[in-house]
Amino acid sequence: MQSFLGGNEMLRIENLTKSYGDKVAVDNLSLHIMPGEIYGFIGHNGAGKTTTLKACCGILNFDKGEIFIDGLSIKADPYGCKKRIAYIPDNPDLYEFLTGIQYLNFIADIFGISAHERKEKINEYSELFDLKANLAQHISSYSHGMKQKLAVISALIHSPKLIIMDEPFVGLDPIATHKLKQLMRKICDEGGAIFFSTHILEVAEKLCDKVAIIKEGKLVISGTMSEVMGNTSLEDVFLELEEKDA
Amino acid sequence: MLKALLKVRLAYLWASMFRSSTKTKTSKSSLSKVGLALLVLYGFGTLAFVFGAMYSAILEPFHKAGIDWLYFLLAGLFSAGIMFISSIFTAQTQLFESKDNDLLLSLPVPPSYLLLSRIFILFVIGFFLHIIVFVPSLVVYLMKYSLSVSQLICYFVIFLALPFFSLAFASLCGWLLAAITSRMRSRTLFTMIMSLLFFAVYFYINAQVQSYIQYITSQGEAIAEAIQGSIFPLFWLGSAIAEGNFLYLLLIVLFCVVPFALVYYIILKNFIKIATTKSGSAQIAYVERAFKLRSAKHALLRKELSRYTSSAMYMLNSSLGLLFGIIGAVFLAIKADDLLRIASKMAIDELYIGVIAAVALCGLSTMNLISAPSISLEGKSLWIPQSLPVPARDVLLAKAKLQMVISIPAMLITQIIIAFALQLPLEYNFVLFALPLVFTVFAAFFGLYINLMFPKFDWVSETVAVKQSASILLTMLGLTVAVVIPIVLYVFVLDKHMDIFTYTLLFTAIFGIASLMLYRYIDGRGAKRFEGLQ
Repeated sequence: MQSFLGGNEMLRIENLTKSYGDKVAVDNLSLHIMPGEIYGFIGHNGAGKTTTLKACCGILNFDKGEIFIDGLSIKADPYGCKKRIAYIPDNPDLYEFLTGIQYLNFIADIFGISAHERKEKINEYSELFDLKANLAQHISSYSHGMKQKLAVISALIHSPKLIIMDEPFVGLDPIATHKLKQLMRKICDEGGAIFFSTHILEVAEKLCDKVAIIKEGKLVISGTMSEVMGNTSLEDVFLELEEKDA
Repeated sequence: MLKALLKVRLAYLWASMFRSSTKTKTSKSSLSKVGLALLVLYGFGTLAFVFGAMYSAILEPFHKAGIDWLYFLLAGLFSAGIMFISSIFTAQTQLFESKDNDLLLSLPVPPSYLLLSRIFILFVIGFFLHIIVFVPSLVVYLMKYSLSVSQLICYFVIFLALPFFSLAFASLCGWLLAAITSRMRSRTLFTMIMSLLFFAVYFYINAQVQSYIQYITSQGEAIAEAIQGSIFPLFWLGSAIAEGNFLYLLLIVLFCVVPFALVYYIILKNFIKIATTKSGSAQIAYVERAFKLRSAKHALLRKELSRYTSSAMYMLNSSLGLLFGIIGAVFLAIKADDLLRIASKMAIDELYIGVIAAVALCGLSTMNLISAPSISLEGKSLWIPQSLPVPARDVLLAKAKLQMVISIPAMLITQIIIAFALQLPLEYNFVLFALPLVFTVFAAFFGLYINLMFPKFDWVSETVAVKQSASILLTMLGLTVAVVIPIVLYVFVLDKHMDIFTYTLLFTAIFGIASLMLYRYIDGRGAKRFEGLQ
């Protein structure tokens, strides 16, 4: 089992490079996330955000570099890493032939969650996101927002140390969005870490402790919110960076 | 706009049959495309040959009796019937339940174009079958007799018009099915029962085909007289070709095209309503119950089982061999005495009967294709097994295991019924049991292996993964070859050199070793391949 040296980073990406044929999707990207941090990942469409997030979750092989989750290499110990993380994709394509509760039970079985714990978690989060009454329904009958809520609940069921989210607020109603933001803060205050991509810069500005902006696969800027923004807004910084080489 | 829609539909049909979702060099190589094309041609050729042989049997007596028109009528009826049967369920899913209905209806596309483009695809699929069933009648006829130019023109025009007739009624039935099931909660059960009833009727007719042909051949003139005087459209169909009669041709073309136009109009009027009706969305209240904990492997297997039981189409298309096996065994139990008496008269050894039964069961196993579309069925939810902390081998083995969990008990029931019916000596029963059971395991791993090589994730309707994908076709053909090769090898080469008992044991061992090799692959490189699928 390979482990990196130095600190207790929850996520450490070292020189990540991933190409699709001739196109370099992610180019020598490095960053790290500490426990307690909400880390926003920003970039235009096709900048390489989803590729980076998927590589961190072990669902996409990469060409060069290393990714460590809580000290474990995703290449050397993918299952150890996957036990520590939860992933919410940009589109909640879940098992439509299962009911909501069947899906949550399936995920809980995979993670070996005890009956008591899963009952507690399912009740807590399904009530929080107002989905409990719909848990007996087939997922195929859910709206996009309901599927997104179910994906969030299933991600939280095993108390992951790191949550990786790709556009988590898409499809959620304002109340659910607000609750998710509060929950994200709470998870990080309790020692967890969150790495998420978003196009909503206002949310990133208010919610994130740190932010990274990616452009054409390369990390152009990263750091704490004040380091990145200075006296301007995140939107100004982002637009300035986007226009720089345009 | 219509042209663009038709192009998209054709591209989709082509992709669903011949394109894999993976981006590996293997799936795109010319060699695999040529191989696939050859296999398709082989399948089509075999079917066409079967129909040609049937036409050959009836042509001469009809020609001698001067009722050639009945010959062409029967060819037309066979073709129209097969097109109709094969299109009903496809019509239901393609016309009314396609997942892109919402998207296309939101675009400024007239529903008439949308419906026409979907019907066009049904026409294309039906037309392939039409070629296989109808064209051999012309080839067989021309091999023995000749046709004038006007007769050939009539044949060609009817060849083009007939699919419209079948399509009209298939679309109507598909529409009725969609209308009935769209508001049902037990939709899977209903579709399953309907399909089984349908199959029962279809196979009853199929089982009687030989006697029907004998009857038709012997009573050709009386049948011709009856049709001629009462069922005019049928007479027009046959006579248009046999006589080169353009008036009959016009009448039969109208008879095919007018119902199609009417059905098209009726469906068009209801298309948006049916296509946008959500299925069984009645609220089910969630009641908290005690959670039943399962191991990860068990959870994966249950998930596969849930997927299997959620779709009548998946269950039916992937488990026909099991159903036929049990029905066949019961039939055998009833007719066992007759069969054994015939075998005794023909001096066939009991061991051969056991081997034939075992090989027949292997043949039926080629229709058990539960694992063959199982990876493709992950579709857009492939990220779930890939992101969970479970080894890819466990995800894959759950898919093969499901086929075994369903097939082995059904196979055992079939074998026990056959064993009781045939009352073979113990060592002969070993052959009856061992070979099909080992082959069942082999079929499960083989289907999974092929799907791993040719997955298809970008389907819009599950039908594509379950019925039309390269994985299904290759698995079925591969398993058929695996059954046929040992038979051919023994009959033509090894008959004199090896006794049948040893030979059967040898192939049981070969299938066992092949299963082990496939298992090893899935456990190692196959798991790696699955992790890299996108």
